Amino acid sequence: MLKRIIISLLGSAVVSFAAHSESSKKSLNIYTTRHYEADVTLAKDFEKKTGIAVNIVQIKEPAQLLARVLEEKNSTQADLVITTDVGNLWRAAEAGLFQPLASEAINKAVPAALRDSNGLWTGLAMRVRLIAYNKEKVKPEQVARLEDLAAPALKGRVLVRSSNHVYNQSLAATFLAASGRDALMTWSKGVTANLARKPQGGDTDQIKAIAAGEGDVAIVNSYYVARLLDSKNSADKELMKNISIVFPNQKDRGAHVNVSGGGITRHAKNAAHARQFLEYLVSKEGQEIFASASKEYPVRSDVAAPAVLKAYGEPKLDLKGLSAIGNFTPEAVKVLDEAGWR
Amino acid sequence: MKIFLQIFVFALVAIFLAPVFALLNEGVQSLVSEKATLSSDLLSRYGLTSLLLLAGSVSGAVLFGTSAAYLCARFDFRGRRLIQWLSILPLGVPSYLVAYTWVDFLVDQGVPGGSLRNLPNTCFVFAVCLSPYVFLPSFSAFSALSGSLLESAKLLGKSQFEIFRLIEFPLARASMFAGGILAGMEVLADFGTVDFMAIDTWSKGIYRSWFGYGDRGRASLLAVILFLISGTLLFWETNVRAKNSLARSGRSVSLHTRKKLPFIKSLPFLFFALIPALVSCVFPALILTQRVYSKSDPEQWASVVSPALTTLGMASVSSVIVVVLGLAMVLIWRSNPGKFVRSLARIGALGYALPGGVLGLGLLILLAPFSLTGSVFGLLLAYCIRFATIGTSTLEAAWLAIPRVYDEQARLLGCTSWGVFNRVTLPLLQNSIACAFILTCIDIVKELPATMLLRPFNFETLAIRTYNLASDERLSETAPSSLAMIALCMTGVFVAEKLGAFGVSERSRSGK
Repeated sequence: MLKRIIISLLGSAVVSFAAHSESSKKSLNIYTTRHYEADVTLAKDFEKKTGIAVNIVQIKEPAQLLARVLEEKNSTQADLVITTDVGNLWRAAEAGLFQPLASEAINKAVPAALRDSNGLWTGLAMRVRLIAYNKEKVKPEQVARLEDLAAPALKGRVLVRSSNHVYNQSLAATFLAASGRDALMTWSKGVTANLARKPQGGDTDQIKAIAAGEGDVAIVNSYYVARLLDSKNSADKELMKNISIVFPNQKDRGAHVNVSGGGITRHAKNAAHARQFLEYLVSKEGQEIFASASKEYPVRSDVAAPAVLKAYGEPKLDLKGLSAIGNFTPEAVKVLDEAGWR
Repeated sequence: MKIFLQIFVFALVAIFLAPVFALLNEGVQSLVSEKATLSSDLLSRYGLTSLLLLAGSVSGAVLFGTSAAYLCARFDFRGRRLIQWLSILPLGVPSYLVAYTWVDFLVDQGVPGGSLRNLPNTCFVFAVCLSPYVFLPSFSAFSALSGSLLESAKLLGKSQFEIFRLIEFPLARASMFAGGILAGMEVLADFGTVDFMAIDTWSKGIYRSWFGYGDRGRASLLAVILFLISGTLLFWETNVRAKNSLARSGRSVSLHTRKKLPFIKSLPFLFFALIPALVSCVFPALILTQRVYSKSDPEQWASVVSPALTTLGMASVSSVIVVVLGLAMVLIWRSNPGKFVRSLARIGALGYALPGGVLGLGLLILLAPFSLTGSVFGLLLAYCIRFATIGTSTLEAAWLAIPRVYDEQARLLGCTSWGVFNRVTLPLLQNSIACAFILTCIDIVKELPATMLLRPFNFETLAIRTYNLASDERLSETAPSSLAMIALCMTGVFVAEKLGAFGVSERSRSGK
């Protein structure tokens, strides 16, 4: 009886697992936090071109992904770590996770400001945090700077997601680096006082809330806006009908920008493949996929920004802020906590 | 033999609790750090929110669960069996999915998002999703009420309400309470739902410390505290259940007959009892189906096939192990192992009190030195630690129901003790084994955070696919994977119910 039960239970398990075995000689193992379709397209394209099988573990939360690589130490299977948010790249480099990229092709393709100064990681794609507003109720000059969102005129009209999210944490970190603790405190208290509703949802939810009239101004990432503008779904386009965007702080430090990037792990078993993949990602071809599929800004100057965003002009970016994000985040989060920005 | 047993159980419990000690070690180190970290002021606010959420969700679940249970156990009306079945159905839908689907749907209908994400609504979501945890034990309790007791009360002139107040409620209270505690543990361990609903609970404290402040030690410490609280609740539940079964075992039960309830009169009750199933299963399933249908993209199903196979494979392999472990535990139980082993085994069951994400971190720390992170083994271990209780408790309950006389007679007829187990006990437990298997499967299909953290390369489950699309703000594209998940879990609930897993079906009632 016991035998029969175990056999029938195991049988069902084995059958459903049979689909899951694979073997390949040339391979590349990636840990990534990115969960975009573009990354799948890029990996498949690379696989087809080179015959190198790309294996991916995706862990959405960067801190968890870093915890895993750090704990795995020299036994890690990861050859390449790719993560959103430059703060995480910085932390990974600090922890001694990476080996030098040593790639002329990368140095040539990517501007120095978007690479690690010690050559440990490279930026792959950028997103700009911008201000979306209701065209009928707000004038663009009212929201020309992030600082303007704390102005009393916008009381009860500002929308933003929770400060749990790394997008806002990094933004606060660059603010802190540029203007100091007191300025950040005043600003985040002002924004919190101006909120139309408790911070909630994602960036797209903020845009939906403008369209629904819950508020008039929101801080959102560029690619969400681009995605809605470019959507085949008529309801998405309808959302953007009365909404326009500004790139903030164009006359001073530039709009807050953040970078997804990658580095080769110190204990990589396929370091050459990892380098090859990074070079492919920053190639013209790879960058075009980032721009078209995930609507991010390319790191190469010779590849065009997503077409729908180009209509709003060429933004000046706060590249100096990038290097501050890693170091300043914990303090910035502390300020956000104290200001009551949930 | 006895010492061998003790060593076996001890080793098992040590493995099960090792992640907690890893976290504790991590946490103690953080006590000396001077880094910027979450203020205790905020932390106490998160704790308070957790308490409020707990109170609201659990009382809601008790309200829904008990009223449906009382209705179905004490009255007869048209559609009663359907209601019984529907009351269990929410077990098959993860609460975060219910929240995603409803909020997205309502915002699309023009309801302001700001009015949806709040504490009462979150309590409501939990209440409907967790109501089966209360329904199941209270239904058995109400059904088991002695008919003669109720008749006597009636003869003595007590009104229906007085009978409820003086007899039915007190006798079923323990079961309701035990179910409520289980529901409460689920609420405490949740992160996906509260994060989406913008409610700041203790879990937020854990994750904000870790992700925002980069303070893993503090996060671990907060997680251990949560574990201790949930653990206490679980212990409490076991005690309540044990006392309750003791109180009932001595009495011979004459089953009561159900009172007929005219259809018209039953309508308002019917509607109320239907709320959990409608809100957590029927409407979400309709909304999702409509979404899949309106997109009419044949490719959208293709992307779900591989995650569905992975999910099924992982769930079934782990559940086999959980069932075998459960059988082993019950076998040990049956052999009169002494108090030491008994209490050890109960401590081992505490794995259920660990939130998945936290268990994941503990296991990460433990498994990394052996290069076992990102292995199927690591995941199997995680699932076993987290869900072993389900297997053990299901099988234990069924085993207790088998009279000892059977064993003794088989022995008299010349069976060895192994023979008794193999030829008498196992065949009798067949259905319960299938049920334990299915119930464990359902929980594994729904599991997200531990899987995310520990998974191997190119490994995607339905839950992960759904979560990733949702966090990429493409809720409408989650429809196929969400539907696949609901379909899998509901099929499981359906089959388990047919097998008598919940003691709700007619056959198991009349069989006694």
